[in-house]
Amino acid sequence: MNRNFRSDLPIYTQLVGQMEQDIASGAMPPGARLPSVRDLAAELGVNPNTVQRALQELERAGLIYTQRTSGRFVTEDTAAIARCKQALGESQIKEFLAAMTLLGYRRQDIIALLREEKEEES
Amino acid sequence: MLGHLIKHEFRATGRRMLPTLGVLALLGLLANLSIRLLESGFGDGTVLRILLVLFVIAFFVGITVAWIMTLVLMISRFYRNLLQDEGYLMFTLPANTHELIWSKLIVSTVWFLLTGLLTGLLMFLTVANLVNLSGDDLNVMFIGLGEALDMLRDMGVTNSSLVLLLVEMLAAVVLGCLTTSLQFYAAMGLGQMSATRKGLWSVLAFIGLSIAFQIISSALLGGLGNSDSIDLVINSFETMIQTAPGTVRAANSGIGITMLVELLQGAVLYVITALSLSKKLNLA
Amino acid sequence: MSAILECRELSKSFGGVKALDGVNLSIEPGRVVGLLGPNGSGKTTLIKLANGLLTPTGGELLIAGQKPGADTKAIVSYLPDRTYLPEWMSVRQMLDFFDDFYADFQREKATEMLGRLSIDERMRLGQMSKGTKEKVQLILVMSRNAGLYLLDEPIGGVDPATRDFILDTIIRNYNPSAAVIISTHLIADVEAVLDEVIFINSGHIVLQSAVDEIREQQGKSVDAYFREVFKC
Repeated sequence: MNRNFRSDLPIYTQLVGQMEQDIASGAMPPGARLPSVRDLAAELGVNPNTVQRALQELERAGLIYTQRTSGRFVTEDTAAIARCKQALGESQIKEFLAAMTLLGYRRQDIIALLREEKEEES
Repeated sequence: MLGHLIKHEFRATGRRMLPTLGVLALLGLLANLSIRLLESGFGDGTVLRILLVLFVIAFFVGITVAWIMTLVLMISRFYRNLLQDEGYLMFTLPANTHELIWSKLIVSTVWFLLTGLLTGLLMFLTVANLVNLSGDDLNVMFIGLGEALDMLRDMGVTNSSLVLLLVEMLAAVVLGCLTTSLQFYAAMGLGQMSATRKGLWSVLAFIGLSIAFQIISSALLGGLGNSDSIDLVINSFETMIQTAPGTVRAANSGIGITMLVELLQGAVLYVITALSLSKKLNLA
Repeated sequence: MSAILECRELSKSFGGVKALDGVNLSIEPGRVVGLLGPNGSGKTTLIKLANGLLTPTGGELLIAGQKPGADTKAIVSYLPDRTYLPEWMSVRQMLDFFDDFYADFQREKATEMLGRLSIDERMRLGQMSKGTKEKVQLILVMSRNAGLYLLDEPIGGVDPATRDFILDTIIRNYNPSAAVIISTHLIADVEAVLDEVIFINSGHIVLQSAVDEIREQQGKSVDAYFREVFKC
């Protein structure tokens, strides 16, 4: 994770986004132990309360859980992680489609472009 | 808290005062050794004798320097440790202003007394050396002192009044040290209120305080001199000193009155110091 | 929760010039608060008043319900905006000093941090560079388990690496049930570590708000918002 935050959004929202991405991509694998709030805060250069708030958000979303004695862990519920990944993917696509629409592309043009892109890659 | 403050004040001042007193003691011993050698005619007609004389002179210079050091240290510890950058540390300790002032007062008084004690001891040694005081002479002195005391007792002077006199004299010395320090502290307390020229204003405040006390004491004495009560006082002293016990009593009350005046002066200076440091602190 | 620091109609004048004028504010424990304002806005005056280094001209300032005095100084850990430790003292003597005077001083913590920076405890403060001295000061101040940390310009004039070290030290070491007040005019540098900000200008409190609120409502960083509020 990085220390650069966008200036127009609360930092905790950005932290939630970053961590969702890390969990969905597997950078933070299921069952992995999270550093303490204070260590995370120091590492990211942010306020511990901000980290706390972000973690609570993620916990509410079921992506992490707290074990009273040993700390916080990434959920082992792979279905939940899959749902998160799905949601992130969908929102990426929505953003992409919105941008393309702004440029004046229609659906079939976009699909055609994507196919072309795929052929070039392979 | 006062205990800790005093401990650290000794730590801070000891690193200057212990070497100073050590060097002074060394100079004193060297001077005495030189006196012995000079008297024994050691190295007659050589440059060595000049060196020996220089040692003796160095001792007297050393005494002056040691006293100046003690005085300067008393001033600089207050000024640097409380009124400059270090004041940010000292005034944010969980101690109150009184504890801060007393820790400085007590420690500087102890150094004054120690410097005085050492100077007295070395001077005695030097004088004894110069007049070739022997152990027998000392004995004679002690016996003489004992006889004098016996005589006083025969004349009706009680032991307790003599002890009181001794205690009073010691207390007067301590009080003198405290008031001296306090006059510098009060002046610096007033001077630090200035935003830009703290040092200059401290010096001016010191001069101002001295003049003020001079005026007040002469006004008091003048007022006393013009009243009838002065005759009463003089008369009572005159009757007192006609007997030996009366003389001791007169000395007792004489020192007592002086101490009372000094105590009053000290109290005023203390209040000025404490108020300027607690209500009007103005660290740069 | 009761406030750790509270000001009611607090005023302070210096020879007729008002440095603080009718300040009202309240700071809760557990918050990291930025006291932000241009130079000469009254930040240092406010912090000095909270430390009992100055006496108010009007109104009052309370620390945990008490006027500044020996009792409040026992729970306030203060970093002045200057080097203030006696030059002749060694680091070890400084540790002894803090140990003797502050019941909440955690010596092991300080020793550990000094060790990590490989600062020799036998070294005298007078032998150190200004930067090292400032680090030693910060370590001493942050090794206290205080109720209120008052840090006056802790990152003024330091390089980015040192700034990160300073902020890191603050975040890692402050007592979580305590409040931290960081005064600075370098907002962008501290913004991420703050819960709350107080904007102060010419002795007046202009704004007290949560950082998240400013970002959410204004859609811009505190730094950008500050520039807008204080545009000349």
